[in-house]
Amino acid sequence: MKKRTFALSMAAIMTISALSGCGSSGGNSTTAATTAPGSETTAASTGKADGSQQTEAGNGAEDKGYYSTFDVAGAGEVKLDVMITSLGDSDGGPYLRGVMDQYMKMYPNVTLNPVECSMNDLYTTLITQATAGTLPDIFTMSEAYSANCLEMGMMVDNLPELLGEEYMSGLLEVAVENSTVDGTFVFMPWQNNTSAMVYRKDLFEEKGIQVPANWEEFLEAAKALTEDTDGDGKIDRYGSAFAGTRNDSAESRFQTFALTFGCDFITPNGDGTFTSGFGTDAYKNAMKTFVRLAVEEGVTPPGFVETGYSEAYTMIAADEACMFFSPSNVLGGIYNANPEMRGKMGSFPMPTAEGVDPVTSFSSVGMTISSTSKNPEVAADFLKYMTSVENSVAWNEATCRLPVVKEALAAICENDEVYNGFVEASDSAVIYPPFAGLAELRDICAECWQMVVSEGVSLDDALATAEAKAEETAKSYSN
Amino acid sequence: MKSMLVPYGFVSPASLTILILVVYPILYGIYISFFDTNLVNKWNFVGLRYYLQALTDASFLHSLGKTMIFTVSVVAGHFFFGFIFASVLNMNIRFRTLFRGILILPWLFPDVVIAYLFKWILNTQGGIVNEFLMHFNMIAEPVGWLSTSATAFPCVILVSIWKGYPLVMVQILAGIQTISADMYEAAEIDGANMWQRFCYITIPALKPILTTILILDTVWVFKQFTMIWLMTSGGPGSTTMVSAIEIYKNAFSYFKYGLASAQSVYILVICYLIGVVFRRLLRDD
Repeated sequence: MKKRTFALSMAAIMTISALSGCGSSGGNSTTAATTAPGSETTAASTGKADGSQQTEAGNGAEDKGYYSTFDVAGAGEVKLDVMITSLGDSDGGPYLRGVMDQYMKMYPNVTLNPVECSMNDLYTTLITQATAGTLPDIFTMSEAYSANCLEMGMMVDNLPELLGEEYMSGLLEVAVENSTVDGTFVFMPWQNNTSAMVYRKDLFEEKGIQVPANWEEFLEAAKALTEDTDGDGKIDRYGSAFAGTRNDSAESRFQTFALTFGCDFITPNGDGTFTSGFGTDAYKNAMKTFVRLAVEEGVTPPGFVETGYSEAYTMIAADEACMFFSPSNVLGGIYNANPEMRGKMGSFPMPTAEGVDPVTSFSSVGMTISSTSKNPEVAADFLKYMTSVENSVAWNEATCRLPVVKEALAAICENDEVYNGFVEASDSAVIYPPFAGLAELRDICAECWQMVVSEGVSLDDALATAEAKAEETAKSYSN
Repeated sequence: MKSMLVPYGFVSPASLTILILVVYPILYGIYISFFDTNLVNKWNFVGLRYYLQALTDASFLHSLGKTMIFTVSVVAGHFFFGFIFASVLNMNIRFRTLFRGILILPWLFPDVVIAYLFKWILNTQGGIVNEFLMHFNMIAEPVGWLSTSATAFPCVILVSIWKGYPLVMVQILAGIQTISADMYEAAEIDGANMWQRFCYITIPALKPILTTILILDTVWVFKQFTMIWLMTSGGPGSTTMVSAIEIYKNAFSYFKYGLASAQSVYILVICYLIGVVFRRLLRDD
């Protein structure tokens, strides 16, 4: 696996932030970004003309707080179908619709039609639409499906040109790389899904618990936090929650967990073949520790196999669990479920196994423009507006999701220390190699731990089954 | 000539509808099963490879076994409770109309509602079943009804029985009400007891209806997806992994459309054979 660090990016972010003065207030960030003379190349910067597409109208749009390179007002009547999975979210949906309304107000000749689709149904929907030739102009995409998206020719082949060089340079490099398959930029990254551990900072301070650096320290902390708070003889607050459902949400978390044991699920051999990491000691240690922490040590609430992402954050919001590793959006879930948790939460980088350097995973969900779109330039312009510094900061306030636009990320992280762990984790974040069978590998992991926990199969037998299946999968996707 | 074409004009709307909505999807599904494809721009002909792969695929064979157990259990449950409740509702009891309304309720709810309802009822954390059992000290700690292999499959079967028995009940009730009371009266005079009346009057009289319901119910249950997917997603492990879920995962999680289509063709054949076998076994001589 190719390791990409954020260190330079973060240094650049802080420099930009200091130069533009945008870090002091999320609300002021756009103004600073759009007015700072000679500011660094950022998504929201005024920037230079981007080839022949730069127009007067585009310059006018710059005053509206984003980097525009196309004469949208002069594009005639335009209707765009926008299928972004967040449109159905209770927190992000209303906000996104508001952004769409603002854009249509700015450009009355543009009609944006929101199309709802859940993340779980996204790929099924896209395949159906691609087969029928009815793909929406803009649709959600992630690295999990980007290779398929490219193979099927779903998206435009000139996305970097449509977005513009200066906009592109304002994105985190790791995010751009994560969105690229075989040298083709498949989707515009939007959400920064760096994984870190969110925790009850107030309880750590109250009990004098140090932030754990490895999993054994994590277990000690979890034990200290597991207690009967109301004295009825039953434990009602647990140290941690672990997601154990058999879906991609839990399975992808385990992949991050395995990383902290030095395990790569899959390694490209460079000749079109792949090698599975399921037979390594690192993988076996990861699975053993995962099952031990999630079930055997008594530091997690009952019902591990039924605990998914939403159940986990609900437990934290309800003061029933204290730690959970996830991208930053889990904070949004916690705050929505219990606003009183604001100010009580913190984050720290993923603990690792003994002898393994700090590491976490970076992934991103973003958007791309359909190859069948009749107005890709307008679609790109809307995406740039949607991800302007101001809108990215507001998006974070609504959902707690971190952006990949450097300047917005700097503004957010400087304002709220709850994200410190995510920023620190970013220094050691890695991306996974593109592998079309990743969903299968992940599913094998969930089957493995569920066999152990629910069916009573021995760990060794379950690991042997998982290893055989993973080898078969790696082989089936090798050329 | 014109008059000869008129009948074709009358049947063509229905024929076209069937061709487009039934025949074409089936043929297209069979066509896909011969290709390694992404359904858009990759169509590599692989012949019968996926058919052979499905036959040697331990997961698929395991899922077929689970499907058989699920189908037999659920259909048997539907008929057992369907018969009992139909018989009760056929009696002249008080509040019969009210009971009819109540007993048919499960059938009126969508599968999604039922699945989520029971998912919460059986939930480990705060599920009413666990709370109830713990309140009366029947269990010391919460049971993972849907997350333990010993209980997940039986729970899914029970919920599926609960959801589907009203259809069988209504059909049987309708059939029972067409049987002349004179026949029961005559049998009673001849000294037949209740069991004999049931075996020699009720069952034979209901045979045509039972055959139809049995075939339909078996095929419907065999293809069950929604309830199991929403309650357990085939888990824990592969405890509730029936064929429909296995095929769905192959198609829409792993994007193996060719293999999924080949497996679907096997299911199509099995369902067809179920119909043929039942018709032969239960035909009225």
